[in-house]
Amino acid sequence: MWRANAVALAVLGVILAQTATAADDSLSDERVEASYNSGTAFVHHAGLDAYLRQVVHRLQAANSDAPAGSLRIHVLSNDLPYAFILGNGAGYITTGLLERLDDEQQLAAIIAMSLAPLVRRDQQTLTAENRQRMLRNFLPNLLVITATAGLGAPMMAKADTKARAEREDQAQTASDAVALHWLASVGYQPRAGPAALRRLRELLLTEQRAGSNDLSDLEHLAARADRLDQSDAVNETPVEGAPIDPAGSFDRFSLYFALNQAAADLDGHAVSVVPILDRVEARRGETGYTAYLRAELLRRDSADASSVPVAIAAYEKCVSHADAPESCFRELGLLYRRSGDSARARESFLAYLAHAPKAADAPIIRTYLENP
Amino acid sequence: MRLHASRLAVLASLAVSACAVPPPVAQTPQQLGFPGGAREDVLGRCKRVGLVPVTSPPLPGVDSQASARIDLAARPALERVGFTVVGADGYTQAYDRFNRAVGGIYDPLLGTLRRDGYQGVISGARREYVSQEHLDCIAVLSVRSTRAEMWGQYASWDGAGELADGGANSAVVHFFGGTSGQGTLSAVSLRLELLNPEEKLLYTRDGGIQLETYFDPHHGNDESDFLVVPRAKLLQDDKRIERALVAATVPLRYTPEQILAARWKDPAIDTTKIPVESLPPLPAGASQERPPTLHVPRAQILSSVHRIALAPLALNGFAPPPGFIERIRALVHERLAPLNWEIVDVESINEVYSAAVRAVGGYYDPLTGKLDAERLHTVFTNTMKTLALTPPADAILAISLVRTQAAQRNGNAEWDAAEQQALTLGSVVKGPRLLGGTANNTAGEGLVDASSIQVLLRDPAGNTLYQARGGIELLQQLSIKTQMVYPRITYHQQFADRAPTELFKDAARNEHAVMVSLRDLALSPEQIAAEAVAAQKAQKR
Repeated sequence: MWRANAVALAVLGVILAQTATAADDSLSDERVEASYNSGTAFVHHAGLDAYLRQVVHRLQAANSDAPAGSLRIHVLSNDLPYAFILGNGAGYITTGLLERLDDEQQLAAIIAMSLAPLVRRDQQTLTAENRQRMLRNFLPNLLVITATAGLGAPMMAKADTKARAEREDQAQTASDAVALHWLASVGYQPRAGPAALRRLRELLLTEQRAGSNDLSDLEHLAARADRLDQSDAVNETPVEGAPIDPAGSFDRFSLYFALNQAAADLDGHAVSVVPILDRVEARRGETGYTAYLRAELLRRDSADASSVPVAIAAYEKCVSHADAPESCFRELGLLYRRSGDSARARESFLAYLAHAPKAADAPIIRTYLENP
Repeated sequence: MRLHASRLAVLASLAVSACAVPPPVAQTPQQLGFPGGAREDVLGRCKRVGLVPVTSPPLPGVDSQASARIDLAARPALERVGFTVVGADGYTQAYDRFNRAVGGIYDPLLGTLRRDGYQGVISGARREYVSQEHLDCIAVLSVRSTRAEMWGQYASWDGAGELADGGANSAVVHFFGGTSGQGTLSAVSLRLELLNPEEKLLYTRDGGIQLETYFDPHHGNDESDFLVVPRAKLLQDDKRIERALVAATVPLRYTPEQILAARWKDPAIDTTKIPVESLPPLPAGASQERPPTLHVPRAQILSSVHRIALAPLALNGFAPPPGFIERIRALVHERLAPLNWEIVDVESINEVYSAAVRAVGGYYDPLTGKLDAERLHTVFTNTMKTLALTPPADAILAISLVRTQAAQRNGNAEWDAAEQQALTLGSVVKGPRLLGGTANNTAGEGLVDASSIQVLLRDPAGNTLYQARGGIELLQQLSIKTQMVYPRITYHQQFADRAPTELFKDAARNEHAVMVSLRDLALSPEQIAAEAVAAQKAQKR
């Protein structure tokens, strides 16, 4: 019994300790915002900020409770999709979100679905409920823990976590329904909400990526999209409004970040490169840069002589584009050199030096011209 | 009181759940260090492997011979995998040739690596190496600073296990007074990478070498229980280098199933089980002392310097509020007034100095990145000539705002003779909270970003006479996230940067920083002692 008492005291101690440290747990939203804004992941791009402001203004028009004027969305660099808004109106989405969505409708849906819980004060409601539940269950839990000499504690904790998760899902579904209503009232399609979640899930699966947040947990994405489909708000007809993204800004930014991601993945997550490039080319066609990334991927796998011709063909395709990056000429030259074709190697090296005479490695390439 | 059905279910299922611990599962290829996924492919592909030497020195401040020591140990370690290891001569020759061809990979103005040039040289040298030696793969070794997880008196990381205090205390001390906290310690690891001829990463894994800091409450000082191993004493231990190489090559030598079967048992595979007693004693750590401020005796400075050129405050990316720069300058004049020096504010000094650096093409060797003292001397001589002060200045005083790190214990941060509560950003009051102090033991110990004023006095030839710092304020706020995973409560440190607009507004902190940074120069040892006594009395009041 001494052990059971010790456990009961430990549980009591935990609660007291949590109460004692609660004051230290919270940072002001202003400080968190300053931290994000001065961090290395913050994307500084005035055009992108202006575009996001436009989307936010349109959403705010539908919602008198939104922190009018103070809501601001910025972009953080991250390969996974995230979207969140702090209590002071500072919101963040990631490059991993922008590059995977289809259009502005889906972007607006994700922003609205991040804003609605803030307006509805979900966090405060859930915290108050959790506190009440903890107080209500304290003595019964203590009894079970004492009776089982502490062995019941992990399962009690698991049951509590499950109950919390269910309640959080309920709150999220209610907030998502509000967000879909906002979308319809400013001319966006409410169906863009579940469509965005399914799109994220599909692409993350194809790229073999997953995370644990709301927008990257594959299981959660599917369940949330299914819940949204059952909401009445998803069938609301959008009001007639101003044209959506007439300048095609979304596509420009989305494709830019997608290509950045593909380039970054060449070294660390090669399995996602082709799916990303397929997606980009389906929207904009093949460019010198997409051809270059495909060639780079093939080159990295051309360890044996038999695979060199395939890589050469990919770089030849790359240099045939008027907008081919200069590195295409260099790598093509190096591959020709490797395969013993010194005449073509020389030709490619000269083309590289003509395109990039001041490149840091230009002196090295010149040594190849002197010693083919 | 009601007993919920769920609680009854808990009681009923206890016996079952106690027996239902899932069996351990073998690690995935990715977890073992094969990003492409197939161990057999890598082993089938890499037969003849070139060993690229470790850069020298492997870390700043570490003995250059350590690189050769690692290279020497790496060869047999890779041969045990089954590779035919090819020497690095071909690589070194190509590297040197390309380094000269690009005019050096270091920026002569800053002494830092030129990323694009470096990449070109490394890539070119690797290609030449592969082509000349007919290599299937390249093995690249590098040494890196990392973090070890500390649990109580043990620390472990990257397949290494050590005593968190570096073995400085006896088993009796560990038993009765060992540490019970958790956190992280700085450590050093060796990274092994295998690349294919086109530089695609096939395998990467780190092996822990040794701790760079110890946590030792029995040998710490008033400010911190962390002890730092001097860089010169790192990487001198062949046994630990060998352990790191074994840890880094285990997935190449053994299948995931063999690794799983040997976990917690076989030190030849699970290197964390190598007993620390079988390894040589670790080098002693030392409390971090303030570096000496006076590079030549104070009397010598006072006898040779009578007129100084004061450079404008260098902001280093900080954006202090209006009036800050002028106030710092006034404080510098005020602090140095007892020395009766003639202080000439020279607004153009930074520009003139930069032009002089550019005129000589920088004072760092572009091939090695090392400082060229002769060129530095030329830069200073030319700067003084261009300034043409009449009469000439005997020294130049440069002042800058710098980012540094403060050691915090229980939330009370101390650095460069400044104090600040990292949790509240208020003042520090020594002592526990129950007694009115600001110490909060949930904050543990660690580092937090801080700002300081740095002063540097140099003679006209560029020789440093005096260098010191005075702490201003913290650049981050610490917060503690409490997490309970039964039966343990864990306190996680979290940091948030302070907004640039709220910094450098505290006049008392700004003044203190200037006073402290110039104290050893402006005051005699007797005056410093008297000032300390006065400060103690003021604090008591």
